[in-house]
Amino acid sequence: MTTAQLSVEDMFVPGFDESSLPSDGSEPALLREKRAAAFAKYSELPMPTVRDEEWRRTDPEMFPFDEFTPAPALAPISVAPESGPWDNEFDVVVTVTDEGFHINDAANMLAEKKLVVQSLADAAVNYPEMLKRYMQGEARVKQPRKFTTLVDAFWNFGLFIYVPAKTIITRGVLIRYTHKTPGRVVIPYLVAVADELSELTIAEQYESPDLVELLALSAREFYAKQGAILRAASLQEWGGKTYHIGEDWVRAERDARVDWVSFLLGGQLSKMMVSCDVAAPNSNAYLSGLFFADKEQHIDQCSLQLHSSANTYSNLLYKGAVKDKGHSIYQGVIDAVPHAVKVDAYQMNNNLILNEGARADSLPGLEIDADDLKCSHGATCGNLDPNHLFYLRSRGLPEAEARQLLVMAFFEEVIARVPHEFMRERVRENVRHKVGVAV
Amino acid sequence: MSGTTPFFEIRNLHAKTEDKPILKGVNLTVNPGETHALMGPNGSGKSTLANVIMGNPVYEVTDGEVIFQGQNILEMDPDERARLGLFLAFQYPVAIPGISVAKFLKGAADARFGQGNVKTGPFLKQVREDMDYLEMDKSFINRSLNDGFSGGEKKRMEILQMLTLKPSLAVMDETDSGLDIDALRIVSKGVNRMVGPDFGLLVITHYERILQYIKPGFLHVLMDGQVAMSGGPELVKEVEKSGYDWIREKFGKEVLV
Amino acid sequence: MSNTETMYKLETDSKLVQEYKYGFVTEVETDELPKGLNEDIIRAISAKKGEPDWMTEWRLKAFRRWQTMREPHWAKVDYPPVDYQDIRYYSAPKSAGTGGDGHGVDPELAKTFEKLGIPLNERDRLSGVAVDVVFDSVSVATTHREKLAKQGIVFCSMSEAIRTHGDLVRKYLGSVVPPGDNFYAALNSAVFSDGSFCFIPKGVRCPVDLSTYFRINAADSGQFERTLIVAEEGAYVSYIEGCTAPQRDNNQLHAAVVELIALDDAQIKYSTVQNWYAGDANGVGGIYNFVTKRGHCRGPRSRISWTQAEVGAAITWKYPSVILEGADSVGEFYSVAFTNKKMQADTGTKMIHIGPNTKSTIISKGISAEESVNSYRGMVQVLPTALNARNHTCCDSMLIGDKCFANTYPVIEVETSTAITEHEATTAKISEEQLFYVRSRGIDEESATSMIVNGFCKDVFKELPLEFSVEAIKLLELKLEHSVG
Repeated sequence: MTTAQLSVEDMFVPGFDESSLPSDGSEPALLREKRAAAFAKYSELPMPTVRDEEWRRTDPEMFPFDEFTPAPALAPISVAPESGPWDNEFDVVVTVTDEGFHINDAANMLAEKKLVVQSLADAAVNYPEMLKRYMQGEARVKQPRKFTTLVDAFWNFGLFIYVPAKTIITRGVLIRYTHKTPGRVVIPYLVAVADELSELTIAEQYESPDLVELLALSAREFYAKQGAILRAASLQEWGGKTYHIGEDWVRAERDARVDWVSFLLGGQLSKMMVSCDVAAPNSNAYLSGLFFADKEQHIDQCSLQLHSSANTYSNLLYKGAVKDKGHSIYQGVIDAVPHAVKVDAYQMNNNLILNEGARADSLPGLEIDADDLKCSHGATCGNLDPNHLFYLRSRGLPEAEARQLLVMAFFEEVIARVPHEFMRERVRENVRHKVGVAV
Repeated sequence: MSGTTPFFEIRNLHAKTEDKPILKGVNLTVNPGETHALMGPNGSGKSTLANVIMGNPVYEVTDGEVIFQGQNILEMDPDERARLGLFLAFQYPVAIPGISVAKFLKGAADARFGQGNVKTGPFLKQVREDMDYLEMDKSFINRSLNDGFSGGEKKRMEILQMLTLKPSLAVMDETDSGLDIDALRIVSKGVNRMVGPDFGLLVITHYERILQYIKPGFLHVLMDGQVAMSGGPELVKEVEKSGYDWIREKFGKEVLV
Repeated sequence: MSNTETMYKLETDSKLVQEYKYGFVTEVETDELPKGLNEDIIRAISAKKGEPDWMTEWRLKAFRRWQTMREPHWAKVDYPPVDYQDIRYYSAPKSAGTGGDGHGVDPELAKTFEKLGIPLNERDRLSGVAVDVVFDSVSVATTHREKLAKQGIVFCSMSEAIRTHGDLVRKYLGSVVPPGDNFYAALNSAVFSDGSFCFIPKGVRCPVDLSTYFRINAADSGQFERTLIVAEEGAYVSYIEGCTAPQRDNNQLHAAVVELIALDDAQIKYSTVQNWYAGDANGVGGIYNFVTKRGHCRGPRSRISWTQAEVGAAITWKYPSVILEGADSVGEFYSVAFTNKKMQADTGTKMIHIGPNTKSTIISKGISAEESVNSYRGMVQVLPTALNARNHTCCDSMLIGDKCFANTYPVIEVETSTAITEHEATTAKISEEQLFYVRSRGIDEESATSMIVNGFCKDVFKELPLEFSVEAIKLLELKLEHSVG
């Protein structure tokens, strides 16, 4: 494991070395500096291997890096791409495709300066101080992982979302990612800030056609300032040949509340990480995950609930199902720092294993060195309760229907944590479809 | 009464929790053989007073004294106070998994009376008799303390502890809350067995109902952290009839003056 | 109570000694090998024991394997590098005899074990228990032998078993923990000097508890005992292990291997009260307790239970596990791990479900006080063949004071949809509410704490044999006395 033994190939993901850094000089200096600093870190960190604790169950070699080439940097396009079914439900819609990105300010929120939604390139000119502060900012409570430093250095689409203090944005921002060009590495980077006493909702949707091979590397940073409420929901519905490695960072300040929800339904292989810091008294975080690995899907998730302050609350609920030859991994840590008293942390991971051949691993962890606190976690693995199944069937429901109903019931608790009914309905539909296919 | 050391006297007691003042100068005296009732609306500081008397570290005393058996007990640990003969029947008795009722009672009795003075055999016999008296199932003696007990069972367990530890002054913190009439009768029966010339009792309650079973000679009404009014049994009837508003009005005026 | 009092009188009345009352040293003449480890030392150990060639070869093979291995460092423990060449791998009291039946034991040794509460005299209070007593590298006495032999039970020191029951030992030794299993197991396989061997033949229910008492005495020696328990079809045995060591300011290594084998319908109950010297308040001295314990439920309906009260040792690295191969077999792990001062404990279990309808239960209670680190590390693995497997895990941690750590690292892997696993865990400070309630009944803070802690541990202590359970509670109370307030 000494770095000296590693060759250049081991240090860099193919296609991502110094020569592939954006070099045309058109980018603001601030971003170029950030990229350079990130690249330096990226060059130092060794490639993770299956020997690293975090990658023991998802060998990095399962990602066929050398089959992909970096996607070009995305520029704004003036003609609005195809609209999506939910566009009307949001104040601002950002559409990201292989051709470029488009920001639709249908409700005039941006024009009225109630909200900022800009590419990182624009924001670097308009809000340089904020970017300095929040890009790779305080939310990064740990050394970023290798792939995250890659995102920091090579992101090909960056977005900055900001709500000014005391502004309530109820409908919020939708970001739709649709990628169709095979063999590409797409690298989105999002920084979102809800300023003091504001309220913001962000929804994201990831899509690609089923047969297109694609690699997504992503990073997101969310900041809820004092008294703010920030809701972030992402719906990952990549096609069956898409690979994804993503890392999220969440920071909640005094009296703030963050509601972070992640639905992982698509993709061939996903490795997702979230770190959430409830950083000041009375900050609250709700982290919710729903995942469903069927066919040959492999979904690996890890979470960190960091209580870096006294009087903080975090609540994590991850529910998953595995079917066919699907394999899911959930690995969680609750970490309370010394003197973080009156901490209340909760972590629950429930797994449904729907047939033989599927596999679920659960590693819920607690690391506690504070005095006056309460942490609890739980994990369950198992199939549907045969008694429940029997009960429903005795009332005349066919088995397939009964199973579907019970799986839906299992997930409902976490589905309910999403703010938008249309998104909830979409997830239910997707889950129903996954369960419905005969075993 | 002046000149003699008081049996139990609260003098100008002030206390707060988390920087919020709750008791703002409570004065109250209980003599041996007397039963006092303390009533008052929600949030007036009744439970705080009970906890401060027993020495719950959650509350900070900022001024005043509590004299018991001639000593100011405010500097004492809760267990010292208990060994001196003070007893609090908790509003919400705490469950302690893994400790049997028998073991707990024996430990407490050893602490109160001295280890050599409590012989296990006769002691447990007495506890069983008391349980009988309180119409408790004998199997309780081997169960974990308050663990999985119903509300009524917990309250009876409090009274059983009182009978066992034979305090000279007991404070009952809303022991009647949530009890049905039958449980209330049993609990009162237990309390009345304690009443005698050497025993002082302070019954804190939100409802007059219990006062039909445990007859107080004195009634105090607590409001905004102070005793707003004191009186005899006739005051109970007055409160029963007219509620607290008239006292608040009168008390408010007095404060203004 | 009176027993404790007499023990106190035997020693000085300094506070430190009372805190660890087993910290005294016995003056005996010893037969030692030089420090260090090489093939000659291993041959010398083997020769001293009069072992057959196969055993010597077995050891050498393990040693060669060990040389290629690296010390594991994934546990949440921190200690300076161990110099394996600076340890004495063999030290025995000269007059110990050869692990006989307890007659003619050196009176100094007999006195030592009296002092530890383990009278070698069979008429004494341990009449319900047969004891094998291991002093540094050798077994000095095994009681109750004849009574057991009548039923075909073999209970003797490992060295003796290798000489007298070579075929049995050869058949089972290393079959659950192979010499190359891990770094410490390999080291143990190379240098183990003694330990206990128990064999319960088909259909026999062992009439008394079997027990081994381990005592490290010599200054620079490590202890590397090897225990092997085989319960044939339908057999039952309850086995108890206890350990102490003198108080010294250097660290001593204890790397034991315990293997349990349960054939069809057999049941083995293994209980440990581990009270090795834990070092002083500054973390100086104490035993490094790096132990591999594993049971194999080989036959259908077999059952293996591990119950442990871990209250000593500077560092503990120990995961008593069960391989559940036989259909309907049952594995259990009940553990109390108490740490104070600067102790570090990384302990837990592995339940590997292979056979159908296998069940496992894990109850772990960790208590950390002062500046200690207490980690639970557990794995529940359900393989595709383990149809209808069940696991229930409950691990709770209690923190006393604000400088201690409690960590929980469970791993659950399920590869069949017919299995159900449940895991629950909590970490909390000792409850202020509970403390106030108990104290309001006149019980002082120290007693109140110990009462609550004992209640917290009750689910585990009730699994210990009665006499041991009383002992464990007393030990815990003694340790708490110095950690509260």
